[in-house]
Order: sequence, then structure tokens, then C-alpha cells
Amino acid sequence: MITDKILGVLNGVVGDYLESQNNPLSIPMTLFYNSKEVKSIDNIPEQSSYKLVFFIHGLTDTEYRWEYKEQEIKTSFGEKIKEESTFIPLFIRYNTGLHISENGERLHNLIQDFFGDKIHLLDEIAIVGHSMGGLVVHSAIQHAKKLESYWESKLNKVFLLGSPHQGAPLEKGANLLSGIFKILPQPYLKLAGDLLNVRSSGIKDLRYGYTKQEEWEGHHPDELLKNRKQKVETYHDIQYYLVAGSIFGSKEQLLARWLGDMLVPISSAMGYSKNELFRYQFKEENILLLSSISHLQLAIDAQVLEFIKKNLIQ
Amino acid sequence: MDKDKIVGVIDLIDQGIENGSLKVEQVHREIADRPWEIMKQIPALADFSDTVLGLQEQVIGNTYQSVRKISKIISSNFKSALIK
Repeated sequence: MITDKILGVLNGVVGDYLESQNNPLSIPMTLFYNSKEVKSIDNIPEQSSYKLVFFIHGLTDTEYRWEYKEQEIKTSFGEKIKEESTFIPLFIRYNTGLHISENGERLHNLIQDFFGDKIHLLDEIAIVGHSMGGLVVHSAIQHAKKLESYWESKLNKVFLLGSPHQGAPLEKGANLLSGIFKILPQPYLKLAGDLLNVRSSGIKDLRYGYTKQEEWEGHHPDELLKNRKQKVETYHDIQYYLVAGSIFGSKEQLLARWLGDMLVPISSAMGYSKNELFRYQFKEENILLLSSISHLQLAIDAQVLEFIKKNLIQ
Repeated sequence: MDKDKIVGVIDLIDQGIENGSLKVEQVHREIADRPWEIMKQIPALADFSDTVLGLQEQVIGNTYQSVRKISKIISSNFKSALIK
């Protein structure tokens, strides 16, 4: 478990490099059911028709992000949903250092391959994405729409927990800092800039919340604060539910808006942008705003679980 | 941790030393060359500065190359011991 968590961090930071070097430390996209790796629908309890909920973690994480203890017993959102519904929870582990669009395509293929020729047994799919995981979900849906994949027609609900739809300020800061280091005449600062730029493609995609290959392909990954985001899409046949958090209490509203959960500002988690092209069309009534909560807590918080259960099961 | 992953860690460390030492070497050269480049502008010191600069380049190059070679030898020995 510890090794897996360390590998998760390593993949988040330099996962694209690991994959380009065929390094065995690179994490392939994998599905887990009951903490065991599963490759096809035959590896989960047999049903006449299947209702599945996929959980996809964020940057530098693994599926362990969803685990927490309740009265000393290990549980997760997935386990809780399983107890109260016919949904089967499946957890995804992946190399978060790759481009979000690459992971999106892989997620699309993974779901497709998981069913194989039994795809007609699929009744309903829901996906819960935490942080970067939410952007991977957007990307997978775009692939599925383009290819008119059957599973996407069964995707009714998507839950996005603290996903940086309009990017993360920390990555913008790293881009700016490395840019400054590179133009200063001191060679050791150039070296610091080079070191800072070692961070993965996945992290760099979080600068503006890229979900498409065309947004990064053919452009220098370290160009200074240049937004190449393309028109964003939400689809009417899918219900999007969002959770945005703030580490501040409800009284410090301005600070809360700016800093959000410390990694993702509230406006970014809600998909809001002044530019209409980049603005995600989410329904206000489907957004849960939480105060006094950190970014990582969003994946294990009781209020978030209630929000998911209320909208998924009922 | 299985053997494959240990080999992966060794490879990553080796590549880190290789790439890192190349970058540090570049910075080292730039900083070390500066005073001699300035002294080269003084005609009386130009020849002497050129000689020292050449010697210095060689010493720096050999030092970092040795680091890379030693790292390669250690990592390949570790890997062959693991595979056996």
C-alpha cells in the first residue's frame, strides 16, 4: 500500500517521463473492485444487468484516496453506495503524470474493454472524479461522444469534486516562476527553472484545465501563461453534479472565493469563466458549496457522500 | 517491491544522475568561465587565461563524466545482480 502510494506521487510528478522510458514504475490504468485488480466484467459479481459507479482519483494519488475509517473500519464512498443501492463501485488507478487527454482516452478504452461483448448488459453508469480525475472524466466523455461509444449512452450522472475546470493557481505560479528564472542572467537560476520544469505533462495541463489533445499538441509546454484552451463542452444527456470547497468558514467569503480549498479556487471548481467559450454550463442547483474543507477531504467527507447518494441513488 | 520495480528505481536514479549532472556541469562551466573570460580581455593576460580556461574545461568535463560513468557502472552491476 505504501509502495503504491509512493508510486502514485512519483507518477504524478514524472509519470510522463517514466512512460516514455518504458520504466516499470509507470502505472498502467487499472480497475479495482474490492481492492483487487479486475480486467473484465467477469471478475465482478454476476448480475442480469449492471449498474456501475467508477471512482477516479486526482493528481499524485491512487485509489486509496477514497478510503477512510468509520469506527475503526475501513470504508469508502464506493462501499457506502454499494450498501445502499445496486451500484457496483469500481476504482481506477492511473498515471496522473500523463496528459489529461491521454488519460481520458485510456479511460474511455478501459470502460469499453471492461465490458467487451457483454456491453449490452450495461444498465447505467455514473462516474465520480476527484480533482484532476474530473477533468479526465470530461476528456473520456469527449472521446466517447466522438466515437459514439455505447457506454456513454448509459452514462447518466457525473460527480466532479473540486475539479480545476479553469486551472489551478499553483501550476500557474510554477509556470511564472520558472519563466522568470529562465530569463534572469544567473546560470544557477536557469538551473532552478529547468528543475521546476521537470514536472509532468499532467501537472502542466492543470494550468488551464486542458482536456483535449489539440490544446497542448504542437505547443511548448512551458510557454509563459499562454492559455490555449478550446471551447468547453457539457452535454444535455448527462447530469453534472459539482462540489466546490473552501478551507475558510462562511464569513470569509472573499478569501474563500480566491483561495477555495487551497488548490482549486471555487470559481474554477464550479467551471466559471469570464470568457464564455471556457465557461462550463453546469446547473446551479447541482452545485454543492462547502466551507471549512480542504481539497483532499472532498474525497472522504460525509457531506459529499450524502450529496452523491442523494443524487445518484434516488 | 518486485524486481521489476527495483530495476525501475535504479534506472530512474541513474537517469536522474545523468541528466542532473549534465545540467549542473553546464552551470558550473558558465560560472567558472566568467572570471577567465573577463581576464582574456586584458592583452597581457589573454594567453594565460586561455590556457587556464582550457585546463579548467578539461577538469570539469572529466569530473562530471566520471560521476556519470561510476553511476552507470553501479546501476548496471545492481541490475545484473538482481536479474541473477
